[in-house]
Amino acid sequence: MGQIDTYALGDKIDACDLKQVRSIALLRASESLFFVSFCELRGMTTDDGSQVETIIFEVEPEVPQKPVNDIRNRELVAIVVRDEFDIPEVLALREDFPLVPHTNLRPFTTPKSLCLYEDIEEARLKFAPGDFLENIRDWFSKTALGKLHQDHQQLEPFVMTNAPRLILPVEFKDCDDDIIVSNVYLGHSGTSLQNGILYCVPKTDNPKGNTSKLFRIISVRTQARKHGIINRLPLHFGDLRDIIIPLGVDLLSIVRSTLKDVVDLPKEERPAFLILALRLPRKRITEGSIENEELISVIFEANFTQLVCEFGLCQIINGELARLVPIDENRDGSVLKISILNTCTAFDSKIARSTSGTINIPDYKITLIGCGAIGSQLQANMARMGIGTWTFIDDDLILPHNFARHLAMPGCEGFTKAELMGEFTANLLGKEKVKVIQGRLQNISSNTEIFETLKSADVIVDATTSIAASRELALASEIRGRRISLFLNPSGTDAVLLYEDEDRTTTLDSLEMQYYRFLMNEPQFENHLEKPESKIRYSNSCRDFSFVMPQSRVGMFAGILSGALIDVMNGGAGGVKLWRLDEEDWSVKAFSNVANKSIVIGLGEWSVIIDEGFLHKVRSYRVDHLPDETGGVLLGCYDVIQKKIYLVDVTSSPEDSIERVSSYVRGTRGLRQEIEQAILTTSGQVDYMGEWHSHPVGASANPSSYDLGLLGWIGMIMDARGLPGVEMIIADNDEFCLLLVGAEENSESLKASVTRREPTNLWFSAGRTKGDK
Amino acid sequence: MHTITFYPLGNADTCLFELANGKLLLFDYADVRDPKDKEDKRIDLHASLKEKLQALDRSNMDVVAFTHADDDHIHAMSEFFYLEHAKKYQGDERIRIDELWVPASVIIEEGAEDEAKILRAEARYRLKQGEGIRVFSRPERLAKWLETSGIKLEDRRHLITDAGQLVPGISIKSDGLELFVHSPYAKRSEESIEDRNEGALIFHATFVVDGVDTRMFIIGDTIHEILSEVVSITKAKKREERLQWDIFDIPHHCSYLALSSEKGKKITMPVPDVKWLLDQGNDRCLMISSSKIITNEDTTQPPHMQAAECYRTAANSSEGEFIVTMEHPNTSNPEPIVITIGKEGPTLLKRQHGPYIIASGQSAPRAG
Repeated sequence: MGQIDTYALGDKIDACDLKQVRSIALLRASESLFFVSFCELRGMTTDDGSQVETIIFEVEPEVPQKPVNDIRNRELVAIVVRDEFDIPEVLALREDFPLVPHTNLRPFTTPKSLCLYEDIEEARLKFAPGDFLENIRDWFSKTALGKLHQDHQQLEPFVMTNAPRLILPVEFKDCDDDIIVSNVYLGHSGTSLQNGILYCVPKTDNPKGNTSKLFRIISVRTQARKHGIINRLPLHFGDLRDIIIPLGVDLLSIVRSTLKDVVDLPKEERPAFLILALRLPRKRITEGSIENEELISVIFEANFTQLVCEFGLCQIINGELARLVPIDENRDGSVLKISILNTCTAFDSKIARSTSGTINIPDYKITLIGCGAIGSQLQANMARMGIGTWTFIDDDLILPHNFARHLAMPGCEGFTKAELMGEFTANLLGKEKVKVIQGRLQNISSNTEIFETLKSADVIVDATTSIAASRELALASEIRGRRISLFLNPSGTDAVLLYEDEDRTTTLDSLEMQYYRFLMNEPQFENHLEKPESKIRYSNSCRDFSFVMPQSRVGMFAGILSGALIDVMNGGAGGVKLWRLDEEDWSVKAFSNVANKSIVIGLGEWSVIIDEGFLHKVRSYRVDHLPDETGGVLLGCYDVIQKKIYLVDVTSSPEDSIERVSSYVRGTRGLRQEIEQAILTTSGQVDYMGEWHSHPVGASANPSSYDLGLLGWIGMIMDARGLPGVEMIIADNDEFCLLLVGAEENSESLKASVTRREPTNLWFSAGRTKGDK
Repeated sequence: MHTITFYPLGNADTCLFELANGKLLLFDYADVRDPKDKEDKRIDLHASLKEKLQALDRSNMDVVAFTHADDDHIHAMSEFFYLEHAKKYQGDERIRIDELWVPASVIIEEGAEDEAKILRAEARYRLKQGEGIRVFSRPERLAKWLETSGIKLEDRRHLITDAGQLVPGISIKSDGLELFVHSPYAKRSEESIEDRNEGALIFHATFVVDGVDTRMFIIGDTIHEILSEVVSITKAKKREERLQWDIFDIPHHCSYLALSSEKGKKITMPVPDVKWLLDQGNDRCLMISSSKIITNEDTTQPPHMQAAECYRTAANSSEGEFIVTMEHPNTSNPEPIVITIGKEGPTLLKRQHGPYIIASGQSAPRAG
């Protein structure tokens, strides 16, 4: 086999000369294989005394009559064994072996080195000689069918070199122009250009320190080609130029032109190195469409001086660089060594989206108010997913205790949380995606910057965990963005998401009340708002207390909430969601409630806010007890500043109540406990508001004289609190009546306001409404 | 995708077509293995076919063709198939033959014995019934026999197919396959002595997958005189495309008599027409010898190493392969030769079994 001699695989040896354990194993395994036959052995000694052994086999792959690639039914291969544990190199020895994918590029065209495994490390672990030989046979069989690629697999890279070496700024890849030239500061993580990674220094920074140098990067797009067309590894610029010319680009003129632009620059402005980033559009089949653009980067192993000289622009005279005019055309840089840098592009919004599967999510403008533990991690999730253009509002300073649960890390002390989130997001997605506002949400309209920002937001996420902030946010109707409030309960066992519908028909404050009603009626959430015992002091100010809560919980909830938030933004509906973690088995249970439309009824200076869920509950109580009247206690809460009365829930009629067809006397059995439980469950948010009762069939909701008497009694009770009391009458045909007492400052104890409202034809007579359809 | 399987049965033939649409066509049945002989490496055909049919949840073959009635093409068929003509060959475990194909000699010939006799009885019965059979011959040749059974030729003409025609019921459109009949052809069939080999079935199959043709010559036992005539007649009728092939089913267990009357010392030189036929193989063609292992020694009985050398040379000249059933994948453990037919043409499967397949297929030696 004279052909083998031309490949310099060494001299012929015998089986008894074999020293490598792996060679012996391969030889033995081949004896039991049907379609692999041993031919001969070669060996040669290396400089360090070890023996490189090559076993030559004839392999019979499974090949169809009309293969896609010209693989024969017998192929000669050489398996080169260098040591005990590495995967041997496999060479296809046929001189006219075709140009096919999945071969490793070497500086020579033949023999072709087969690329058998995608994951070399895993292959090393699992190596078995018989399997290896079958893998080789399989490589041939699949290559014959053109099936070494699955259709969904990426096309093989132009060059299969080792680990990535260059992280290229996005603008060199995603550009429409065929040629882009620019200077960029690149940091370097290795000790020489031969190792380590060249990375672009973060966008928001100026270059710092000595580790970054100025590089000139030329990004060139070639013509489209079918993959697999290049058959050897270029070692010098001349090789590369020859390889690229058939793709319609002459690199020589491009490099010369870019060097001309910088050759006259003063020393401190000169780039230190030159990188060629080649964009190679490729197609899977010659007639096909362009599948994608591949990126190969090449660095000249030459400094500025060497470059300008080797390309004929300058020469050294008396130790100084002197311009050559005209250019020495004979010096074309062909002998300059080049190094292929496997390239990957820097992170950006587009990459974030494609790798997260979030490409189709619209670019929401989100204002995040409150960048605490949950807010920061939730936002970080979304930023990594490429979602959102952000404004951050939180002037809290980062302090050491934050590192237990916040996105921030040591080194961030003294920055505000908004600043931190801003920098984090800008680094990931670009400055244009971020705005930072130093401030907090107190009295929105006074701080015009915050007001203007909120006006332009699609979504306003309240992660302040402050009820006051939440309530304030709910107002300001000129701000149209839907509010979404999220927080953990004080003991950190549950996460809550309150989200408005996109038309804001039910606002955050009403959702809060519906959330309380949920808590009051789900026994397992009795303790939801309980404050835990443990507190840790971080400084002497009482505002720095923190609860004990592990990051494992916070991180998990931030994950759930970020996912749920995206769903909610994509959908249009409103609602209340809760998640409860079981720390026994780390399972999470979800609870979901659709938002009930809220109804606002003005009574003098006050507004009474109820929701359709509340009405439904009260109406069904009435129906259940017909033909008799029924009733109970009203539970709700006040917003004294906004003069709002929220009716949240009702108690059922106590057992000892007297229910007749035309009268109702509310009893007392178990009532106190029920109210106390409600107060406890809602952590004092909800309390006694007054009384409700129903009218029988055929009667209107108009208060009788008894009803007015009841109102007076309520007023007496509530005088002790100094807040108005409420009486509600539920009647036929969805009619109801609301009565307020003690509402005006210098009023009598009985008061009923009348309001007429057009054009919806609802009219409130002491809050009576004839159905609101 | 279609699949062709040649079973390792020594000097005997059985070939199965599994079409992409599920149809099964069996060419010959020779369950010749001796179960008592542990050294007999021929496959247990009965069990193998049964297993395959069970896996397909079937108990029938669409077509069973007996190329001729020599024992090495019909051995023990009466133990495997459900035969319509007599109850003793019936039972649920037997495999039904939807359509039986035979050359005319099987119907007409007197003096048949054993299995040949049973086959004859079955073929005659089906022809009498007028269904489930196709006879290959010039129709007039059967006229006399039909008369003796009180049947008009006209009433059975649709079940008789002459040479030069496509076999009805199989088409490229519905099955991706058509079969052209080369033999029996008129010239020989008029001899009064019905030599079985000369009256044997010879087909030219054209498989089509995604518009790509794969052609196969299906020959049972035949002699070079017959092949030469097939070639010259076909050429005369200008139908040379029916002589091109990608797969060649080597006749008569690699006997030199299918090539020439002269065996030759190291290599048989084929007569001109047969040589021409061998040259009609397309590049990377496959030539299959259903035979025992072929050694370097001169033998009287086939397979003849000189014939093998001739075929091997023909295969090599077109980058093709010459494969012997009892040598594939190796001589110590032959396995069925499987050829898949797709849009890349035919592919000879070369599968290496992993240890677990081998281990699970054999009973482990006794322990304890």
